[in-house]
Amino acid sequence: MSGDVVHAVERFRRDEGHVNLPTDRGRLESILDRHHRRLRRVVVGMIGDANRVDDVLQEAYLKAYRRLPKRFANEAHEATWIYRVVYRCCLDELRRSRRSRESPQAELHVVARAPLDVSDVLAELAPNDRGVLLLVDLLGFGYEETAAVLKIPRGTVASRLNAARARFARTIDE
Amino acid sequence: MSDQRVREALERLPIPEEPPDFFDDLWLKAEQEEREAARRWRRIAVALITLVFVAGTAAGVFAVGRGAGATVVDRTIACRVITNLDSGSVYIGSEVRLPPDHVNGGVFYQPGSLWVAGNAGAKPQLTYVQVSKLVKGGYSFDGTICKKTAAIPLARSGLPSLGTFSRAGNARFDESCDVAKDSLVTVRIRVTELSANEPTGAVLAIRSGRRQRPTAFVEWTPTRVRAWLAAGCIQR
Repeated sequence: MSGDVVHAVERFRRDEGHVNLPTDRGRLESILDRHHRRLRRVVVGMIGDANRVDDVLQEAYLKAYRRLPKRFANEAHEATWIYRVVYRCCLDELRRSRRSRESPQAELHVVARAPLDVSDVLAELAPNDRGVLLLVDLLGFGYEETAAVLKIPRGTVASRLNAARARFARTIDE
Repeated sequence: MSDQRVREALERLPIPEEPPDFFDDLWLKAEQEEREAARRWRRIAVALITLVFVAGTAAGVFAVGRGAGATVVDRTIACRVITNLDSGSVYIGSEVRLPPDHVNGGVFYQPGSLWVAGNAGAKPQLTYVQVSKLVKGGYSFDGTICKKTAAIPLARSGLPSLGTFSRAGNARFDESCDVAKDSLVTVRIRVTELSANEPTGAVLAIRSGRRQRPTAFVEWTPTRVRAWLAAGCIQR
Protein backbone atom coordinates (compact mmCIF):
# COMPACT_ATOMS: atom_id res chain seq x y z
CA MET A 1 0.00 0.00 0.00
CA SER A 2 1.49 3.32 -0.97
CA GLY A 3 2.04 6.12 1.51
CA ASP A 4 -0.73 8.21 -0.03
CA VAL A 5 -3.25 5.44 0.41
CA VAL A 6 -2.25 4.95 4.04
CA HIS A 7 -2.66 8.65 4.59
CA ALA A 8 -6.09 8.66 2.96
CA VAL A 9 -7.25 5.70 5.03
CA GLU A 10 -6.04 7.33 8.23
CA ARG A 11 -7.82 10.53 7.37
CA PHE A 12 -11.00 8.59 6.61
CA ARG A 13 -10.77 6.73 9.89
CA ARG A 14 -10.16 9.97 11.75
CA ASP A 15 -13.12 11.62 10.04
CA GLU A 16 -15.21 8.64 10.93
CA GLY A 17 -14.12 8.92 14.54
CA HIS A 18 -12.18 5.65 14.46
CA VAL A 19 -8.95 7.19 15.67
CA ASN A 20 -8.97 8.24 19.31
CA LEU A 21 -6.92 11.39 19.21
CA PRO A 22 -6.25 12.66 22.73
CA THR A 23 -8.77 15.42 23.29
CA ASP A 24 -8.47 17.92 26.13
CA ARG A 25 -11.19 16.07 27.95
CA GLY A 26 -9.41 12.78 27.45
CA ARG A 27 -6.13 14.20 28.70
CA LEU A 28 -7.72 15.76 31.77
CA GLU A 29 -9.58 12.53 32.53
CA SER A 30 -6.28 10.73 32.38
CA ILE A 31 -4.71 13.21 34.82
CA LEU A 32 -7.67 12.98 37.18
CA ASP A 33 -7.53 9.19 37.09
CA ARG A 34 -4.12 9.50 38.68
CA HIS A 35 -4.72 12.34 41.13
CA HIS A 36 -8.42 12.75 41.87
CA ARG A 37 -8.57 10.78 45.14
CA ARG A 38 -5.61 12.62 46.62
CA LEU A 39 -6.83 15.97 45.34
CA ARG A 40 -10.13 15.32 47.04
CA ARG A 41 -8.37 14.78 50.33
CA VAL A 42 -6.49 18.05 49.94
CA VAL A 43 -9.73 19.92 49.29
CA VAL A 44 -11.41 18.34 52.28
CA GLY A 45 -8.47 19.32 54.46
CA MET A 46 -8.31 22.83 53.07
CA ILE A 47 -12.01 23.67 52.99
CA GLY A 48 -13.25 21.76 55.99
CA ASP A 49 -16.83 22.05 54.79
CA ALA A 50 -17.98 18.70 53.42
CA ASN A 51 -20.86 20.35 51.60
CA ARG A 52 -18.55 22.58 49.60
CA VAL A 53 -15.89 20.04 48.72
CA ASP A 54 -17.49 18.79 45.51
CA ASP A 55 -18.34 22.28 44.28
CA VAL A 56 -14.79 23.50 44.86
CA LEU A 57 -13.34 20.42 43.24
CA GLN A 58 -15.57 20.77 40.20
CA GLU A 59 -14.72 24.45 39.91
CA ALA A 60 -11.03 23.56 40.06
CA TYR A 61 -11.38 20.84 37.43
CA LEU A 62 -13.31 23.16 35.11
CA LYS A 63 -10.58 25.74 35.51
CA ALA A 64 -8.01 23.06 34.76
CA TYR A 65 -10.01 22.00 31.69
CA ARG A 66 -10.09 25.57 30.38
CA ARG A 67 -6.38 26.11 30.98
CA LEU A 68 -5.04 22.68 30.24
CA PRO A 69 -1.52 23.10 28.80
CA LYS A 70 -0.78 21.52 25.44
CA ARG A 71 1.84 19.28 27.01
CA PHE A 72 3.68 18.71 30.26
CA ALA A 73 7.42 18.30 30.57
CA ASN A 74 6.96 15.21 32.75
CA GLU A 75 4.60 13.63 35.23
CA ALA A 76 5.93 15.71 38.10
CA HIS A 77 5.16 18.85 36.15
CA GLU A 78 1.68 17.57 35.45
CA ALA A 79 1.07 16.79 39.15
CA THR A 80 2.43 20.14 40.30
CA TRP A 81 0.15 21.90 37.87
CA ILE A 82 -3.08 20.14 38.83
CA TYR A 83 -2.36 20.44 42.57
CA ARG A 84 -1.63 24.12 42.17
CA VAL A 85 -4.91 24.70 40.32
CA VAL A 86 -6.86 22.91 43.03
CA TYR A 87 -4.96 24.60 45.85
CA ARG A 88 -5.64 28.04 44.33
CA CYS A 89 -9.33 27.26 44.06
CA CYS A 90 -9.35 26.28 47.73
CA LEU A 91 -7.77 29.61 48.67
CA ASP A 92 -10.32 31.43 46.51
CA GLU A 93 -13.12 29.58 48.24
CA LEU A 94 -11.72 30.39 51.69
CA ARG A 95 -11.45 34.07 50.72
CA ARG A 96 -15.03 34.07 49.46
CA SER A 97 -16.21 32.42 52.66
CA ARG A 98 -14.35 34.93 54.80
CA ARG A 99 -15.80 37.82 52.81
CA SER A 100 -19.34 36.55 53.10
CA ARG A 101 -18.75 35.88 56.82
CA GLU A 102 -19.95 32.34 56.37
CA SER A 103 -16.64 30.74 57.07
CA PRO A 104 -17.15 27.00 57.41
CA GLN A 105 -14.07 26.90 59.60
CA ALA A 106 -15.64 29.35 62.00
CA GLU A 107 -18.81 27.32 62.09
CA LEU A 108 -16.91 24.10 62.55
CA HIS A 109 -14.81 25.73 65.21
CA VAL A 110 -17.86 26.64 67.22
CA VAL A 111 -19.99 23.57 66.53
CA ALA A 112 -17.29 20.96 66.76
CA ARG A 113 -15.50 21.88 69.93
CA ALA A 114 -16.31 18.49 71.34
CA PRO A 115 -15.35 16.04 70.11
CA LEU A 116 -12.56 17.77 68.16
CA ASP A 117 -11.68 15.97 64.92
CA VAL A 118 -8.92 16.48 62.42
CA SER A 119 -10.98 18.88 60.30
CA ASP A 120 -11.44 21.16 63.27
CA VAL A 121 -7.77 21.08 64.09
CA LEU A 122 -6.85 21.89 60.50
CA ALA A 123 -9.32 24.75 60.57
CA GLU A 124 -7.26 26.30 63.34
CA LEU A 125 -4.31 26.67 61.00
CA ALA A 126 -3.76 29.49 58.57
CA PRO A 127 -4.66 28.39 55.00
CA ASN A 128 -1.03 28.60 53.82
CA ASP A 129 0.19 26.46 56.74
CA ARG A 130 -2.66 24.04 56.16
CA GLY A 131 -1.63 23.66 52.53
CA VAL A 132 1.95 22.80 53.43
CA LEU A 133 0.88 20.33 56.11
CA LEU A 134 -1.58 18.55 53.84
CA LEU A 135 0.82 18.25 50.94
CA VAL A 136 3.78 17.07 52.96
CA ASP A 137 2.28 15.07 55.79
CA LEU A 138 -0.93 13.82 54.21
CA LEU A 139 0.12 13.26 50.61
CA GLY A 140 3.81 12.71 51.22
CA PHE A 141 5.08 15.39 48.89
CA GLY A 142 8.73 16.39 49.17
CA TYR A 143 9.72 19.94 50.01
CA GLU A 144 10.67 20.65 46.40
CA GLU A 145 7.34 19.45 45.06
CA THR A 146 5.44 21.38 47.71
CA ALA A 147 7.43 24.50 46.97
CA ALA A 148 6.58 24.10 43.29
CA VAL A 149 2.88 23.60 43.95
CA LEU A 150 2.59 26.52 46.34
CA LYS A 151 5.09 28.65 44.41
CA ILE A 152 7.06 29.49 47.52
CA PRO A 153 10.74 28.95 48.34
CA ARG A 154 11.81 25.63 49.77
CA GLY A 155 12.89 27.32 53.01
CA THR A 156 9.45 28.80 53.43
CA VAL A 157 7.98 25.31 53.04
CA ALA A 158 10.20 24.08 55.84
CA SER A 159 9.41 26.92 58.22
CA ARG A 160 5.70 26.81 57.50
CA LEU A 161 5.68 23.07 57.97
CA ASN A 162 7.37 23.34 61.35
CA ALA A 163 4.95 26.00 62.49
CA ALA A 164 1.95 24.05 61.16
CA ARG A 165 3.02 20.78 62.78
CA ALA A 166 3.58 22.50 66.11
CA ARG A 167 0.23 24.24 66.01
CA PHE A 168 -1.54 21.09 64.84
CA ALA A 169 0.03 18.98 67.58
CA ARG A 170 -0.73 21.56 70.23
CA THR A 171 -4.37 21.82 69.20
CA ILE A 172 -4.95 18.10 68.92
CA ASP A 173 -3.34 17.46 72.28
CA GLU A 174 -5.59 19.99 74.00
CA MET B 1 3.64 15.00 69.23
CA SER B 2 6.01 13.57 66.62
CA ASP B 3 5.79 14.19 62.91
CA GLN B 4 4.69 10.58 62.55
CA ARG B 5 1.76 11.18 64.88
CA VAL B 6 0.81 14.26 62.89
CA ARG B 7 0.74 12.11 59.77
CA GLU B 8 -1.34 9.46 61.51
CA ALA B 9 -3.75 12.08 62.75
CA LEU B 10 -4.09 13.49 59.23
CA GLU B 11 -4.83 10.00 57.94
CA ARG B 12 -7.95 10.12 60.09
CA LEU B 13 -9.23 13.10 58.12
CA PRO B 14 -12.82 12.15 57.31
CA ILE B 15 -13.37 12.13 53.56
CA PRO B 16 -17.02 12.62 52.61
CA GLU B 17 -18.44 10.21 50.12
CA GLU B 18 -18.26 11.38 46.56
CA PRO B 19 -21.56 11.76 44.72
CA PRO B 20 -21.88 9.05 42.05
CA ASP B 21 -22.60 11.62 39.34
CA PHE B 22 -19.63 13.84 40.24
CA PHE B 23 -17.88 13.44 36.91
CA ASP B 24 -21.08 13.35 34.84
CA ASP B 25 -22.01 16.62 36.45
CA LEU B 26 -18.51 17.99 35.84
CA TRP B 27 -18.51 17.22 32.13
CA LEU B 28 -22.03 18.52 31.76
CA LYS B 29 -20.87 21.81 33.23
CA ALA B 30 -17.82 21.78 30.95
CA GLU B 31 -20.03 21.30 27.89
CA GLN B 32 -22.34 24.09 29.02
CA GLU B 33 -19.35 26.35 29.52
CA GLU B 34 -18.06 25.51 26.06
CA ARG B 35 -21.44 26.24 24.49
CA GLU B 36 -21.65 29.53 26.35
CA ALA B 37 -18.11 30.41 25.32
CA ALA B 38 -18.97 29.61 21.69
CA ARG B 39 -22.08 31.76 21.93
CA ARG B 40 -20.04 34.55 23.51
CA TRP B 41 -17.48 34.37 20.72
CA ARG B 42 -20.23 34.39 18.12
CA ARG B 43 -21.71 37.50 19.73
CA ILE B 44 -18.29 39.14 19.83
CA ALA B 45 -17.70 38.20 16.20
CA VAL B 46 -21.08 39.61 15.15
CA ALA B 47 -20.41 42.76 17.17
CA LEU B 48 -16.98 43.12 15.60
CA ILE B 49 -18.29 42.56 12.10
CA THR B 50 -21.03 45.11 12.75
CA LEU B 51 -18.48 47.51 14.15
CA VAL B 52 -16.21 47.06 11.16
CA PHE B 53 -19.16 47.50 8.80
CA VAL B 54 -20.36 50.64 10.59
CA ALA B 55 -16.83 52.02 10.75
CA GLY B 56 -16.32 51.27 7.08
CA THR B 57 -19.62 52.85 6.15
CA ALA B 58 -18.89 55.87 8.30
CA ALA B 59 -15.43 56.16 6.77
CA GLY B 60 -16.99 55.96 3.34
CA VAL B 61 -19.56 58.58 4.22
CA PHE B 62 -16.90 60.85 5.63
CA ALA B 63 -14.69 60.25 2.64
CA VAL B 64 -17.48 61.03 0.22
CA GLY B 65 -18.62 63.95 2.36
CA ARG B 66 -15.16 65.31 2.56
CA GLY B 67 -14.62 64.87 -1.12
CA ALA B 68 -17.93 66.28 -2.16
CA GLY B 69 -18.43 69.03 0.31
CA ALA B 70 -15.41 69.45 2.48
CA THR B 71 -14.45 72.63 0.70
CA VAL B 72 -17.33 75.01 0.44
CA VAL B 73 -16.66 78.66 -0.17
CA ASP B 74 -19.53 81.01 0.44
CA ARG B 75 -18.71 84.63 -0.25
CA THR B 76 -20.58 87.80 -1.00
CA ILE B 77 -18.95 90.73 -2.70
CA ALA B 78 -20.16 94.11 -3.84
CA CYS B 79 -18.72 95.60 -7.04
CA ARG B 80 -19.33 99.15 -8.20
CA VAL B 81 -20.32 99.57 -11.83
CA ILE B 82 -18.09 102.32 -13.21
CA THR B 83 -18.83 103.51 -16.72
CA ASN B 84 -18.87 106.61 -18.86
CA LEU B 85 -22.05 105.45 -20.50
CA ASP B 86 -25.52 106.36 -19.42
CA SER B 87 -26.00 103.03 -17.76
CA GLY B 88 -23.83 100.12 -16.84
CA SER B 89 -24.05 96.42 -17.46
CA VAL B 90 -23.46 93.24 -15.58
CA TYR B 91 -22.64 90.16 -17.62
CA ILE B 92 -23.55 86.70 -16.49
CA GLY B 93 -22.43 83.64 -18.37
CA SER B 94 -22.01 79.93 -17.96
CA GLU B 95 -21.34 76.78 -19.89
CA VAL B 96 -21.26 73.10 -19.14
CA ARG B 97 -18.32 70.79 -19.72
CA LEU B 98 -17.66 70.12 -23.38
CA PRO B 99 -15.07 68.04 -25.20
CA PRO B 100 -11.77 69.82 -25.88
CA ASP B 101 -11.95 71.86 -29.03
CA HIS B 102 -9.09 72.00 -31.50
CA VAL B 103 -8.51 75.55 -32.70
CA ASN B 104 -5.63 76.54 -34.97
CA GLY B 105 -3.68 73.46 -34.09
CA GLY B 106 -4.11 74.07 -30.35
CA VAL B 107 -6.39 72.42 -27.84
CA PHE B 108 -9.09 74.53 -26.28
CA TYR B 109 -10.33 72.93 -23.07
CA GLN B 110 -13.92 73.51 -22.03
CA PRO B 111 -14.32 72.07 -18.54
CA GLY B 112 -17.42 74.13 -17.75
CA SER B 113 -17.53 77.53 -16.11
CA LEU B 114 -19.59 80.27 -14.51
CA TRP B 115 -18.70 83.93 -14.41
CA VAL B 116 -20.01 87.38 -13.59
CA ALA B 117 -18.44 90.52 -15.03
CA GLY B 118 -19.23 94.20 -15.23
CA ASN B 119 -18.03 97.61 -16.30
CA ALA B 120 -15.02 98.93 -14.48
CA GLY B 121 -14.14 102.39 -15.84
CA ALA B 122 -11.43 102.07 -18.41
CA LYS B 123 -12.01 98.37 -18.56
CA PRO B 124 -15.17 97.62 -20.45
CA GLN B 125 -15.42 94.33 -18.68
CA LEU B 126 -13.96 93.16 -15.42
CA THR B 127 -14.57 89.68 -14.13
CA TYR B 128 -16.05 89.87 -10.67
CA VAL B 129 -16.38 86.17 -10.06
CA GLN B 130 -15.28 83.13 -11.98
CA VAL B 131 -15.66 79.40 -11.37
CA SER B 132 -13.74 77.03 -13.60
CA LYS B 133 -11.33 74.19 -13.48
CA LEU B 134 -9.00 76.37 -15.52
CA VAL B 135 -8.83 79.01 -12.81
CA LYS B 136 -6.16 78.51 -10.20
CA GLY B 137 -7.86 77.08 -7.12
CA GLY B 138 -11.08 76.48 -9.06
CA TYR B 139 -12.57 79.93 -8.50
CA SER B 140 -11.55 83.60 -8.30
CA PHE B 141 -12.91 86.86 -6.96
CA ASP B 142 -11.95 90.33 -8.09
CA GLY B 143 -10.14 92.22 -5.40
CA THR B 144 -9.66 95.54 -7.19
CA ILE B 145 -13.12 97.06 -7.15
CA CYS B 146 -15.11 94.35 -5.39
CA LYS B 147 -15.30 94.30 -1.61
CA LYS B 148 -16.69 91.80 0.81
CA THR B 149 -20.15 92.64 1.99
CA ALA B 150 -23.10 91.22 3.89
CA ALA B 151 -24.64 88.09 2.44
CA ILE B 152 -27.72 88.32 0.26
CA PRO B 153 -30.29 85.52 0.00
CA LEU B 154 -29.14 82.64 -2.13
CA ALA B 155 -32.54 82.17 -3.74
CA ARG B 156 -34.45 82.61 -6.97
CA SER B 157 -36.49 85.43 -5.47
CA GLY B 158 -39.20 85.22 -8.11
CA LEU B 159 -36.91 85.60 -11.09
CA PRO B 160 -38.10 84.10 -14.40
CA SER B 161 -36.32 81.02 -15.64
CA LEU B 162 -33.84 81.40 -18.44
CA GLY B 163 -33.63 77.66 -18.92
CA THR B 164 -31.60 74.57 -18.25
CA PHE B 165 -28.32 74.11 -20.07
CA SER B 166 -26.56 70.86 -20.71
CA ARG B 167 -24.44 69.14 -23.26
CA ALA B 168 -27.52 67.61 -24.81
CA GLY B 169 -29.07 70.97 -25.75
CA ASN B 170 -27.88 74.50 -25.23
CA ALA B 171 -24.58 74.18 -23.48
CA ARG B 172 -24.04 77.84 -22.55
CA PHE B 173 -25.56 81.21 -22.02
CA ASP B 174 -24.08 84.71 -21.93
CA GLU B 175 -26.43 87.45 -20.81
CA SER B 176 -26.17 91.16 -20.20
CA CYS B 177 -28.31 92.92 -17.63
CA ASP B 178 -28.55 96.68 -17.40
CA VAL B 179 -27.77 98.21 -14.06
CA ALA B 180 -27.74 101.81 -12.93
CA LYS B 181 -24.52 103.74 -13.42
CA ASP B 182 -22.28 103.79 -10.35
CA SER B 183 -24.58 101.40 -8.55
CA LEU B 184 -23.40 98.35 -6.68
CA VAL B 185 -23.72 94.82 -7.98
CA THR B 186 -23.84 92.40 -5.12
CA VAL B 187 -22.81 88.84 -5.92
CA ARG B 188 -23.09 85.93 -3.56
CA ILE B 189 -21.65 82.62 -4.64
CA ARG B 190 -21.25 79.33 -2.90
CA VAL B 191 -18.69 77.09 -4.58
CA THR B 192 -18.26 73.43 -3.74
CA GLU B 193 -14.96 71.82 -4.61
CA LEU B 194 -13.96 68.18 -4.81
CA SER B 195 -10.40 69.37 -4.44
CA ALA B 196 -8.46 72.46 -5.44
CA ASN B 197 -9.08 73.24 -9.13
CA GLU B 198 -11.99 70.80 -9.17
CA PRO B 199 -15.23 72.78 -8.66
CA THR B 200 -18.19 70.45 -8.61
CA GLY B 201 -20.94 72.96 -8.14
CA ALA B 202 -21.83 76.56 -7.51
CA VAL B 203 -24.90 78.56 -6.62
CA LEU B 204 -24.96 82.22 -7.52
CA ALA B 205 -27.28 85.10 -6.68
CA ILE B 206 -26.96 88.66 -7.92
CA ARG B 207 -28.71 91.81 -6.78
CA SER B 208 -28.11 95.16 -8.38
CA GLY B 209 -29.28 98.74 -8.66
CA ARG B 210 -29.97 101.26 -5.99
CA ARG B 211 -32.70 99.06 -4.54
CA GLN B 212 -30.64 95.90 -4.86
CA ARG B 213 -33.31 94.04 -6.72
CA PRO B 214 -32.82 90.40 -7.64
CA THR B 215 -30.99 90.20 -10.96
CA ALA B 216 -29.89 86.64 -11.39
CA PHE B 217 -29.82 83.24 -9.78
CA VAL B 218 -27.78 80.36 -11.21
CA GLU B 219 -27.27 76.74 -10.18
CA TRP B 220 -24.17 75.45 -11.84
CA THR B 221 -22.52 72.05 -12.14
CA PRO B 222 -20.05 71.00 -14.83
CA THR B 223 -22.78 69.00 -16.52
CA ARG B 224 -25.91 71.04 -15.99
CA VAL B 225 -26.76 74.71 -15.46
CA ARG B 226 -30.06 76.24 -14.52
CA ALA B 227 -30.49 79.99 -14.63
CA TRP B 228 -33.08 82.52 -13.58
CA LEU B 229 -32.55 86.07 -14.79
CA ALA B 230 -34.34 89.39 -14.47
CA ALA B 231 -36.64 90.19 -17.36
CA GLY B 232 -34.44 93.01 -18.58
CA CYS B 233 -31.42 90.82 -19.26
CA ILE B 234 -30.60 90.14 -22.89
CA GLN B 235 -28.46 87.66 -24.70
CA ARG B 236 -25.12 89.09 -25.73
